[in-house]
This record gives sequence, structure tokens and C-alpha cells, in this order.
Amino acid sequence: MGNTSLRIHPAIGMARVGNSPDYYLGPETMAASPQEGTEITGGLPIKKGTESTTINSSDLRDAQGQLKKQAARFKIFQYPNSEASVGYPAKGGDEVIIGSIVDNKKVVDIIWTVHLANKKANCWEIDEVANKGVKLYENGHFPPLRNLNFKSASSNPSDPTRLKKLVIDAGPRAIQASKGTIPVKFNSNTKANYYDINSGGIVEQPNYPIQFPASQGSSLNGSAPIDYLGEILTETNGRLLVLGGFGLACAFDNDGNYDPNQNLCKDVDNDNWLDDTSDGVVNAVLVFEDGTKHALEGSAWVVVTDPAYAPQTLNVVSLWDDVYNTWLEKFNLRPEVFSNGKYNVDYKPFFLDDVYPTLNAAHMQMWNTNLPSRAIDAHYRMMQLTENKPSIDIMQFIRNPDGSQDDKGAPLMPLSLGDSDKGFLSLSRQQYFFMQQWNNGLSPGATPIQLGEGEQLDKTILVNCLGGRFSPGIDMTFIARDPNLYNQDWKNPSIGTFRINAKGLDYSQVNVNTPFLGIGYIPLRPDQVEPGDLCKFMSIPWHTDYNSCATHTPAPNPGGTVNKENLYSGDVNTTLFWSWPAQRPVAVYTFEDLMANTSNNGALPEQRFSLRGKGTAAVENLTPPGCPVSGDFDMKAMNVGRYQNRRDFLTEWVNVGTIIQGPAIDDYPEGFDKKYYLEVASNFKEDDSNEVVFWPNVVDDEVYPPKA
Amino acid sequence: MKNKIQALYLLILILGFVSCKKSNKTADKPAEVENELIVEKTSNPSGIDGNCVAPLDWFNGSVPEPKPKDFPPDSLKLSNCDFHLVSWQYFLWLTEEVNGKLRFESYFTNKAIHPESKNDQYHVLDIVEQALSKGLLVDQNNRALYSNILINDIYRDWVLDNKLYDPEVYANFDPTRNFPVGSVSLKTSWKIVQPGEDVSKLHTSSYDIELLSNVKGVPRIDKNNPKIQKNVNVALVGLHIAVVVKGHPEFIWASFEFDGNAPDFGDQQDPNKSVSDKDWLLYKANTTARQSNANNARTLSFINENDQTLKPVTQVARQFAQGGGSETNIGNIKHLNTNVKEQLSANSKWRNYFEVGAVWFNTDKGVLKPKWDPNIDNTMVTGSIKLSNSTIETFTQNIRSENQCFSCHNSMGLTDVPQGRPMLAGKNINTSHILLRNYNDGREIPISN
Repeated sequence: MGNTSLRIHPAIGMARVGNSPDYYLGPETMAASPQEGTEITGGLPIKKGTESTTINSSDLRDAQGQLKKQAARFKIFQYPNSEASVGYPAKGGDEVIIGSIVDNKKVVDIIWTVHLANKKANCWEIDEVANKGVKLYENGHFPPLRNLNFKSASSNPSDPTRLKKLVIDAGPRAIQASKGTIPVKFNSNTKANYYDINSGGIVEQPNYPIQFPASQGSSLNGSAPIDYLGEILTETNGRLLVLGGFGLACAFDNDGNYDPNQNLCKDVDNDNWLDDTSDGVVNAVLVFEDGTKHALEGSAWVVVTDPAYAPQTLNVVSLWDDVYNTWLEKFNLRPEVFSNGKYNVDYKPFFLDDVYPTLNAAHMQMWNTNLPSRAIDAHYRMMQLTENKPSIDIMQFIRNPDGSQDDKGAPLMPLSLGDSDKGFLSLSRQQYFFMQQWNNGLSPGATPIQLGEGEQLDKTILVNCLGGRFSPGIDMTFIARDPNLYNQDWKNPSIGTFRINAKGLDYSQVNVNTPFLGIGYIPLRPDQVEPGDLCKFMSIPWHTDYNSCATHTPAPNPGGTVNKENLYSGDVNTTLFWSWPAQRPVAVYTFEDLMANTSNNGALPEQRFSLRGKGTAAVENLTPPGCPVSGDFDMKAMNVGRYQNRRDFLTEWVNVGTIIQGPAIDDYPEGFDKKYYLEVASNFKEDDSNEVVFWPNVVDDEVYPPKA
Repeated sequence: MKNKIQALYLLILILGFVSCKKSNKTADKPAEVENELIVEKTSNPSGIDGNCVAPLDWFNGSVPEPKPKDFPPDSLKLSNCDFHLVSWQYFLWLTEEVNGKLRFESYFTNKAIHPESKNDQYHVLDIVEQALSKGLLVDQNNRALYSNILINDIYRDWVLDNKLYDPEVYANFDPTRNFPVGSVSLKTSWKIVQPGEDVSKLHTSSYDIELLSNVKGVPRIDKNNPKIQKNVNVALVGLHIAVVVKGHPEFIWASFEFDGNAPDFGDQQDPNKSVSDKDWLLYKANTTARQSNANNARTLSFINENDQTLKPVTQVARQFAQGGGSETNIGNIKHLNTNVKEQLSANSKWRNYFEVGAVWFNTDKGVLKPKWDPNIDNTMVTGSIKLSNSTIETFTQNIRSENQCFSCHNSMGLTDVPQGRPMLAGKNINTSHILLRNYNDGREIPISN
């Protein structure tokens, strides 16, 4: 189009479920990053109806105490068509809103089309036993398929019965910003519609095979029929907001009928269950004053996932780090950093962008974990380092991501559980490289790369998500490292970077009796991506994985799986480590406890477990109802900080508190430390879990009742 | 009697030579097949793996002073047994009575690294916190066990000569320099003797102790204002001996305990089964393994501060008998312990103590260098590779990254340092926590995590 290219940002947006119909906007600043003009660091969500006003503690829940959803906000940016705009970063980029001028034409409206679906139940298992991640897709292989026992369906995921009965497909919905004050819902009561390029308007597609399987029945014990995946609406300036589901899980029998009595026996791959997370493509059309329209060539993608219970806690390895690594190493994104298969040893990393976030993230873990004071102090010291060459060799403490130290725990950092098939977490390769370069004294004099506002948004959204530990993780999984996931035509100025390789969907060609969506994207294969293909690899339902991912022993364990016979051999690692604490807080300091003893000069109170409702007191060898007796070795300390019966979390996730910074908490005392990050808005009135004991914890630790 | 012992010794020696055809090797050396070679390659005719026995001259009068400079530096000439022998020799020599005191009781305290207190020999028992865990070992009488740290003149003088008590000097000190041969540091472990308690098998002594008080709500020694109780009757239950011998600047870390302290875990010890059906000094009969060695850092409280009684009692068990290691290592320790006890006079209380184990480097596989941690590279660590003293490292025995001496006593850098002080680079002498603690203004030395 003329002299201008248009792109939607963020390339991948994140919405988060909530049981409230109300919402706030997802954060548009990077977690824990210093913000100009305020003591409040980045990562806090934004109040709805505002440009960037961050929420307070009272904004987390609605008047009924329900947890608000987090909306993903999408914006359109225009880039001048020049040499500069085809690289990374693309120079410039101005937001296009209603009233903006694009190629000398005034924008009077924006039409958005979004398609949400959930294919989890017709996906392959993450395979908790094999624990190999993407390797299970290598050489033409697949992991086992979920719901293999489903009614009369073959083990072929393209079986029409499977596609119909195991896939939630709300279909496309379009919204015109000028009429966008009324949300458009992705539910079974509304018709699919979309922007039709031929007619130049939104057209209804009554024959679209909207699928909400097993949606007839009554809620029971955390199972609820799912007939809604979310909704879209627009801001008055034309930006799109995507809201996700209510955080429901839904059980069904092998005939595909709603059946709340199904068991929930695994942490990740539960057959006979659905949830209402989703993902899908986002498209936009500009409407000009002269009546002409312009459909943007490129699309964005929205992913709906779990709530952000600690939005300001930065992951040591974020989803951005994994996506960025893939683009550096596979797409020649920044040849000055990585080219011809290796990193440039002369590259000067910009400390504040390339190194500091990793150091800061380590420091931030104290708010979500039971780190001992010695570790907190050490992290704090590291966080205070500057761009100058550190006085000692910091790399002695950093695990090499080359795989040689995957089974080495302390003193190597990060000291949390690793990716699939890796005992411990490693930094992404470019994180490690940047840190090496800084450690060698190459940071002073470095210049930052200047991201435009849109590209910064691409990065920010992913920085605030979990990376590193993709077994499967919670926001996106190992597919983030698969080049096949992305549109490789990134130098096309109308496409740009970090775009999902979206399959073109022709909504004019549908059959009401035939599932519209197929298998779609398969890891390590070139198949293009359909709605539902990103979330499908995640835990089903997400709740069980979240509940489980408190602390575990490393897997693989260097001495083999812990059992009764080898427990005291010293060869197995019986120490418990955190899974992904920045995204799934384990131990927290509560604002309520802080205020209960204000005479303590604002000193931090003792910690509590984030999950601490009835049913969280640790027991061992518990067999959840209907589940086979597990032969796995089990001791109480292995089960602290979570619901002992997975099913309980299906209803209790709404009661989990959120960790935010002191100054963002209503009535935060003036003299108290403004760098505290405290849990607020927890609905757990009683602590029924266990006392938090500082790390290191081992599997045979005694557990104690929680403090009063 | 003496002739009988000598005859037995010769018999063992001969049998040992025979058995060594198959099993004799250093901890990591292939077995040698020629008896002559075996003799030639051991530093002492008695230092034979598989037949590890103490020389007779240790038991005829005074214990010969160990000669760390004569320790064979060439590992080809060293056996696993040699390290245990020198460990035992130090133990016997240090516990030998000289002028009415045990030899180690005339050592300097760790305060002697400062010029102003360089002659400090006031052996107040001033440590109750166990390393890293913040727990206290509470004995069956509800009293805390006590420790102190001692050094010899070689250690002290070298630190003073190099001004390593000065943090700035320490920070800039050559990372590759080592402690001089002959440096010794000790950590003692004492149980408070109750009135009427049978301690006939233990070495007892009278020491001043620093009393516990409520520090931030938990029983601790108030280091800012410690209360002292004079002349408390205490019994020695554990002794760490760290010594630099020629070729081993990493120190040989040896540990000794009273026989009756605590039971060993059994093979494939079941966590829900008792470790022993007998009462031990620090263990109540039929306590399960999972209830043993329970860190009380979060549960500790006074029963009565006035009489210094605490709860809960710690039930101590030794997770790794002999500190683990190879069969050769374990066999040597067992054999040598038996042998020494047999040779000690019947009225020697040291017959009631044993070497738990010792750990050092196989220098064919690596030598001490800065930024080394066994949790990253343990290839050169040999001997009792999971060595803890059950009275000093009770609560860290089951933590894989903390369950041996080098886990903490290594050459990694230190990041958790007082504000305003530079982070400390990895150095060979960081193996000594006396110096690290001094650099850290007396704060606990964290392992890196």
C-alpha cells in the first residue's frame, strides 16, 4: 500500500482468564523494569479505559470478589516503506488510530476479526513420563495422542469425530470499532462473522460449524460446560481488546457428553477434559474517510492463558528470551549478534537491555519463593552491578546452556527446575552470551537497539511470559523455539518479525456439518498455524499443571528417580526446587501479615504458601478419587504449597492472591518499603496449608502447620 | 601382649599383600600386581589399601608429630590408606596430653588471625549454629551442642604475615596462592555433661560457654553481648581436622566422632523404619530415619532459658557411614579404625573415638584452582566423598549440594558480602571459612545458591 506498511502489534498478545466478566488490560511495560517518573516497576496491568494507568490492588477483583480477566490490547502501527523498515528493528512506527492519517487518507474506522479455538483435547500428550519436549516430534515421530480412548474415533487426529468432539472452535468474530462498545462474544449463541474482502464489510457466516462440545449439563465440583471462549471489544480510538474465558474446566465422557464425574489423575495430560483457554488469529482492516478500506496483509495472534498472579516478577528466562533466541539463530535477525552459526565475540551488549534484566529477575524471585536470606542477599548484590566489568567472574555462577551442566544444581544459576529432559534451568544462549560479553568488560560504550513502539510492544508482551521451562510451561511451550511456527517472510514490511505462520482461512467456504479446523500446526513440520494450535500443547486443563508446579526434585535426576531405596544414597538429588515461580508463586509475603504487625517497623513477615486453602495441607500417598494407586515415591514435603487433590484447584484458583508492589496497594503505609512486592486480594481466609520453611527443602523434611 | 599384637600385625600384613593382588589401588588407581611395587608405592609399609594399619611407633610412648612436608607429593606413591593414616595420626597427636592439656587445647582460636589478638587461646565454646542450616543440635538432655574453631601457628602466622585479616588485602590476594603446608584448622564439638551422666568413655573437659538467649525470638548466642558461663563440664563428641600436607593445598578434611554418638543409616535405609533399636548419645531408640536429623531452625524454642533447655530434641543419625566413597575407602577406614583401637592402650579414651572419614583430591585428576566447586566438577574429589560429622553437619547430610566438606569449603567467589565491600573473587584460600567469615564481617558464609 503506497508508501506505508501496516502491522498489528503485539505480534503475539496475551489475554488471561478470570471468573469475572470485568477486566483490566494486560501490562505494556516489562516486569520489574524501572519506570520513569514512578517508583512502581513495570509489569503491572493497566486500568481499563486508560492509556497506561496501572492498576491498584482494588482493581484485581470485581465488586463480587471475582478475579478480573486480563485483556490483550492490539494496536496498528504504520511504517514508512523504506530500506530501514525491512530490518530489525524497523525504524519508526507510529500508531494508527481512528483519526490518523495513513498515506494521506484519514482513518475513520477499524474492523477487527479474531478467531478463537482450543484444540487441547485433540493434541498429542506432553508425555510427562518421557519428558522430552519437542524431541518427541523428531524424525517423523509423535508423542501419544490425547484421548486415545475416545468414542469410535481412530488414533488419527484428523478423524472427523475427533475434530468435531474434541475441538472447541468458536469461529471468527468481527467487530467494527465505531460500533465496538458492545462486546462481541465467542459463544455458542452468536453467529460467526468476519470481514469479507469481496464485499468490503462484515458478513455473517451462519453455516460456520461453531463447536462447543460437551456443553450441555450443570456445573459440579469444578467441572462446568464451556460455551464461551471470550469476547472482543474496542476502545474508542479503534484499538482491539480480546478477553478470554472464565477459567473453566469441563469433563466429558468417551461419547463426548458432558460428564462432571470424570477423574483428574495427571498433572498435564488429562483425557476427558477441556478448558476454556484459547488462541487464534487477529486481523484488521482500516476504513478510510473516502470509503476505501485496507486489509492488513499481516496478522497478529492472541493467546489466552492463566491469570498473572505475579505480574511484576520477571522470569529469569522469559518467553521473549526463547522467541528472540530462535529469531537470532534461525532467522538472521541481528547478524551483528549472531551469524554463520555463531555469536559475534566482538558484540557489545547494552547492559540495561541485555544483562540487567537477568540479574534483576534473579533478585525478584525472592517475592515468590522461599529463598533463604543468604541467597536473597547474594541476588540483591548481583542486581546492583552496573555496566562496568564486574569485579569478579560472574560466569562461575551461571550454568552453561550448552547442555554440559544441565544436571548441576547449586552453585550454578538459575537454581530452578529445567526444561524437558534437563534437570536445571539454563539461560537462553543469547542471554548467556550477553552476560559473558558483559563479564568480559564489553558493555561500556554499547548502544541500545532502538525499538519502535510497536516492536517494543512485541517484546514487552513476551518478556512478561514464562520461558525456559517448557514442560510444558503455562503461556506457550517449546513450539516457541520451532522456526516452523513463524512467518519467515519477516522482511516483508507488511509482515515484520515474530509473526505466527498463520494459515489463510477462507470463511466463505464452510460446511455446517464439517469441522472447519483441522490438525493444523505440528512441531517441526511446515504445516501452517490455525486457531487453537498454540494453546493445544499446554496442560489440559491448565489448572492441574499450575497446581502441581510448586516444587519438585529435578527430572531427570542424576541418581535416578527418587524412591524409598535410594532416598538416602546421596546419589539422587532429594532437594526440592521451584518450577516457574515468577509465573506460579510458591511462597509469598502477604500484605495482610505485614499490616498485622505494624509495630515491627515494616519488616517483612514470615511467608505463606500462595495456595493455602482447605485441602492444601500436605499429605503423602494420596490417591485422588477415581485415580489408580500410584506407585510413585511420595512424601509430605513433596506436596506442600498445592492442593492435594487436583480437582480442588478447579474451583480454588479464583481465590489465589496476586503479588504487586507496595505503592500499588491501597492504603499502603507511607513509611513502608516501596520495593516490597506483597500478596494482596487473596480470598483464602484461613491458611490451611503448611509452614513455609526456607530453602533448601528435601523430600523427607517434616512439614508443620502454618503459622497462626 | 605386645608380641601378640606384633604377630597379628605381621599376619595381617601378609594377608593384606595377598589380597592386594586383586584389590590394592589408590582411590582411583588401577591395582598393581607386584607385591614389591606395592611396598615401594606406599609411603609407609602400613599404608596399604585393603590392609590399612597404623604403625607400631604411634603407640609406644608419644605419638610422632605428623610430618606434612614429608607427605609424598607424588600420588603414584600414595594410597588411599595414607590419607586416613595421616588423619588418624593428627587426631592422636592433637589429642595427646601435654602439660595437662590436650595438644589442640593449646591451639589458637580463630580470633588469632588478627594482630591484636594473635595469641588468643581462650577456648570459649562460642558456636551453636550448625553450618548453613541455622539449626542447633539439641541433645537428649535438651541442651545445645557447642563448637569452637581453632588453628595452629603455621596457619595463624601465614595469615598474619600476609595481612589476610585485612579485607582489602584479602580481596587482592593472588587467587592461586595456597595455604602453607602444615596449616591446621580444627572444629570441635562438645556435649554438655549433665550431673550424674556417665561419660566415662568420653574425653571431658571444662570450658566456658556462651549462653543462649532469645535473639529475634529464637534461641541463639547474642554475639553482640554474649553471656558467659564459666567452667562448664563438657564432653568431646566430634572433631574436624583440616590439614594441608605437601601436595594437598585443598586440605585433607578428616572428621572424628565418639563411637556412641549416633547410629549409621542402613543400606537402602527406609525412611519410615528406625535407624537403630538402641539408645545412643544423640539418638533415641527406634526413631525413624525421616525423623532423624530434622532441622529445627524453624521450630526451636526454649523450654527454659534459665537452665538453657531447648526443644525439640535432635535425633541424630549418620547418613553416610565412613562418609561414603569407594569400597577401598570404606574398607580402609573400617580396618584402620579397628587397628588403631586395638593398638591403643586399654585405658585410652581415644579407643572410643573413630575416624568417620576423610576427603581430599586425587591430584592425577585435578588440583585446587580458583572458582572450583565440587558440585560443578567433582572428578578429583576422593576418599569420603559424602563426609559429614553427624554432630557438626547434622542437618545438611541429606542435601546433595551440601553433603561433603568441599561443598562449602571450596574456592568459589563470594557475592553475598557486606555493602561497600567488593565481591570476592574465587581463590584457593577461600577454602578456609575463617578467612571468609572475617572478610564477611563475621557473617555466615553462604554457599553459592
